[in-house]
Amino acid sequence: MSKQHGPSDIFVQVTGKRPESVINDSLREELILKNITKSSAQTIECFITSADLPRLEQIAADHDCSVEVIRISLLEKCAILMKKRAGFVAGILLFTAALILLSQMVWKVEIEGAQPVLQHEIEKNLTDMGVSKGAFAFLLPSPEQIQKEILERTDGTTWIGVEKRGTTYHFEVVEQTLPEEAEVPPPRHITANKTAVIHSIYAEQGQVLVDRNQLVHEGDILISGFIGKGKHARTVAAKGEVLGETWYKVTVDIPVKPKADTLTGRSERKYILDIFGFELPLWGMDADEAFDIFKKTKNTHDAAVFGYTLPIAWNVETYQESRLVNQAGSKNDVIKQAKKAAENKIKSQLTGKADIKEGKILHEESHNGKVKIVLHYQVIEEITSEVPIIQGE
Amino acid sequence: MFDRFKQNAKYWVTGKMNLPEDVLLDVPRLTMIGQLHLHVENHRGVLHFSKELVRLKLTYGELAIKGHDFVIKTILPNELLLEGTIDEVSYLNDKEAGGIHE
Repeated sequence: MSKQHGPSDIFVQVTGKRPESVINDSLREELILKNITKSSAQTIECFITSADLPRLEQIAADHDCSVEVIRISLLEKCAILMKKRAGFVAGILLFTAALILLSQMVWKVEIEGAQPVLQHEIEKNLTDMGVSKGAFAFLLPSPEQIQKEILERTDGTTWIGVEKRGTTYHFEVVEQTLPEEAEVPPPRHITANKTAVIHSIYAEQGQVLVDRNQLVHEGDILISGFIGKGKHARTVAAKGEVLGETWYKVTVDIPVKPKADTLTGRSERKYILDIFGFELPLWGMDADEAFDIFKKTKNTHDAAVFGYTLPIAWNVETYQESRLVNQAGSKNDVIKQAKKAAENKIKSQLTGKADIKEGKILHEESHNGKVKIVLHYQVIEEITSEVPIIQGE
Repeated sequence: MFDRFKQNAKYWVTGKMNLPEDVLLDVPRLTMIGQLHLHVENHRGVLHFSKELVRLKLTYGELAIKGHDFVIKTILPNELLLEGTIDEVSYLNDKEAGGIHE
């Protein structure tokens, strides 16, 4: 309650014979006096709004009293200070104005997703529309309208997205993509790339020069690129699929009695505590010396608290005794295995479309516990290769 | 004579109908907070004001407030807030003597 006066209140002193009558008249005139104190018998001091000062003076004059302003209001003090520091105040105003004005300017125009040629065209159109560096954003149409207009003006775009991010205009361009024209291959022949017997022949374009079951050698023309006769003769890019029967000879060596690792069932365990990577064996320290041949497995149990892995782990190493056993296999099994191995060998050599038609054992012999088998395969595969026709020779 | 009749009628109405007196009668309503503040409603003006004594005019009679360090915090046409140390509030009821000052 001590500071009930506002920024526009002034502190005045009313001196006269009967200052109380000034208070009463002020009440009647609805002048609001605040914090009235009596400093001497003929003087009262109070706060009033600076706008009410002339009316108070009028009232005081009616009662033969005089009014003296002791302290001016806060606002008046500020006004005086501002007048004193006019340059400073002007600077603040100028700065604020500049800040607001500059923040309303376009500082950057970004175009994304367009080829350089198209980008240049879009930039040119935008400059024509007024969207360029240094333009005032509040003078430009809304992004939606800019989007509509730039789409109308620019050819070769499917869509342009316009977005205003602060002082930047961001354009996202989706270019029109036309389907690419199919590549026309140059005139060519189709030739055989290996010796084979033609199994089937399908020509899409060109003239077939071979028959089914005909033997062809590497480099023979299968489908010619020359078509027509006399003055209608011309060259085309021969296209087609020729499958031929080819032969492969595969030699496989496999042992008659393969060896296998088996466990005997005896095992020892070793317990190790792992602290910060340092391994401290606790139990079963000679487990690794118990067997000559063994298989080792290690189980690690990490200690974790609330999802955090502690640097302490409990390791259990299991040593299981093992032994090599010779497996006796029948002759049929050995041959089956050999065939399988041979087929795998062939398949790794063949590329593209290929089918194994038939396999025959040509020769087999046993030697030093190993079986050597020679197999013959008939394979049907694509035998085409392309040879361009060089003209003018 | 008519005023006197009206006044008596008002007394009778407030007494019989159990109405708050300050609504109908032109009497002041004082609100005092300890010795610190005194809020006076329905006063009719300041007769005397000094740091030790405030005399307020009422419709009938006057109100004398004694104490020290008085400051009138706000004063409105019929409301007044007095601050200071209040020792004594007394009514000077001399309406028979026609004690309307000023």
